[in-house]
Amino acid sequence: MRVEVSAPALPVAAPAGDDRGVPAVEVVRLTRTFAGTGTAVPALVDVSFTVAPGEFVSVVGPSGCGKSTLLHLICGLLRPSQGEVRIFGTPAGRVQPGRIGYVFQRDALLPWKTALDNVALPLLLRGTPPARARQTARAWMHRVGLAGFEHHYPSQLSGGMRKRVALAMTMVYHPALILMDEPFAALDVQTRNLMENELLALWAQTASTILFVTHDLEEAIALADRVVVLTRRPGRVKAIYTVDLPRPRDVTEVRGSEAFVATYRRIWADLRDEVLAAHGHA
Amino acid sequence: MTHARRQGLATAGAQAAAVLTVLAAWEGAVRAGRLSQEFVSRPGAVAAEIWRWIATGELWPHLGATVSAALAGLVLGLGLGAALGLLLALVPLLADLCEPALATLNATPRIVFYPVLALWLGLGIASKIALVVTIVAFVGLFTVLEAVRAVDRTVVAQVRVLGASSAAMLRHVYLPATLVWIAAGLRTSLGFAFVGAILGEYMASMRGLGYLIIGAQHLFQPARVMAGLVVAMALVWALDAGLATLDARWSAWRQEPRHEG
Repeated sequence: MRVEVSAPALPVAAPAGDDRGVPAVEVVRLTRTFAGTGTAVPALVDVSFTVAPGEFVSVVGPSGCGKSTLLHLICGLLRPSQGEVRIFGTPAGRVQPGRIGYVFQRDALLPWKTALDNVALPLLLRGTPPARARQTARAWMHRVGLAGFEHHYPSQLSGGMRKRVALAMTMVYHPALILMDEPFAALDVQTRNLMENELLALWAQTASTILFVTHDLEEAIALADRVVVLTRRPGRVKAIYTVDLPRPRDVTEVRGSEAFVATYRRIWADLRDEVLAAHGHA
Repeated sequence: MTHARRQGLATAGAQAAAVLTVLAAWEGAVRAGRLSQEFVSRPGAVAAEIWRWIATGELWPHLGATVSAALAGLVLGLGLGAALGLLLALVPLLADLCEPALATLNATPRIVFYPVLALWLGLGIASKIALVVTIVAFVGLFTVLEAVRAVDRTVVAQVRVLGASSAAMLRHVYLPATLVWIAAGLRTSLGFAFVGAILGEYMASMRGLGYLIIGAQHLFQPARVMAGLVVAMALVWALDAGLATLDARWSAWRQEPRHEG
């Protein structure tokens, strides 16, 4: 087993230091194909982009364009067919587990553990003594607004609360890079906006780098510094846009601003063709 | 007293009344000559028989033998089955290899193995325990196999991303996932365990509830046969009630939020 005792002491929360100048994520000419019936089916073709340390980047594209595949390749759950992914200079797959966090679209909490024990789990896996792990987890439960729900099981929490637990579970170990795969897609609009704002607040406090996959362009713009637009399947990078909106942002308010609407129109012009084509309206 | 509790007591009262009515009808029918005491005995005689067993202490070694065989077999069988199930679930190649054989064995009435077990282990308690193991192990095995396969893929991916080693996956994901199912399967298995123990005693033994019952049948003593049945039923009922309490505690995470107040 990997020795991870020193992991919490590393300055993982602050990607500055020895990581200065090295991109948080480098995706270089990445191609991934899956074995289909007889032929190989490409999911991603020749995808390249970088994410700077501390940056918030959204990836949008029509459904089925390989967005989840991209995240799986970045966190090392999948291997590239061609090209490569480097996380802070290290090839994906050889990255220390504690450096990457992953928030899934579906609930990924352990149903047989209480909310508190879920949040404490990543620390336990890193060898933190149980008492200290629970203490830190308690502080994070408080930070995501779930004080008093420590001993509830996931089945006893609402969808929004479960997402908060998932966020705390990811942020509790200060991963330098957080991958998010449509994490709020299953929530109702109000809860979703609330969670988006909380995510931005937590991100501002932790200095993590976030790569946020969504099919919702409004969400992508409201949250991110830059938006990567992927084409329909097989996914290629169509264009990368910089979002010039002031921070701190309130995701509900920012949507009304002229700059937001202008950015939205600009990106939607690109994305619309892809979405229509993906649905056979080419 | 809450409404629900009062209703529960009322239901229990009605159930007890129904049982007493049936017993009274049975007793009455025998006394009136409508039923032959030679075949069905009567509740009074059965109760007297049980009381005699308790008063003389004759019952305890037999009860002890059956309970030990059933519980030892239950623990050994479930443990063995669960361990095998975990292994098969985590090594798919092994599962593919073994599954046809396991399905065949599982479809075979296990009592056909008893002569072999008795040959190897003798007519004492060991062969009864072994018979129970052959029955219960399959319940444990298939339960665990299903439980591990039913673990949410997203949960597995999440814990892997968090940096869990294989040992940590086992401890935090696979063991807890299977434990609840074992707890749920425990109640079913308990019944099977007593079936195995008593069947073994029917076949050949010198002790146990099965021995008491089959001995009484050979001597044509219906009250003793019935008494044996009643004791066996009461025993399983009490153990099952105990397990139900444990099951409720272990599966708290599967329950909906309590509405307090």
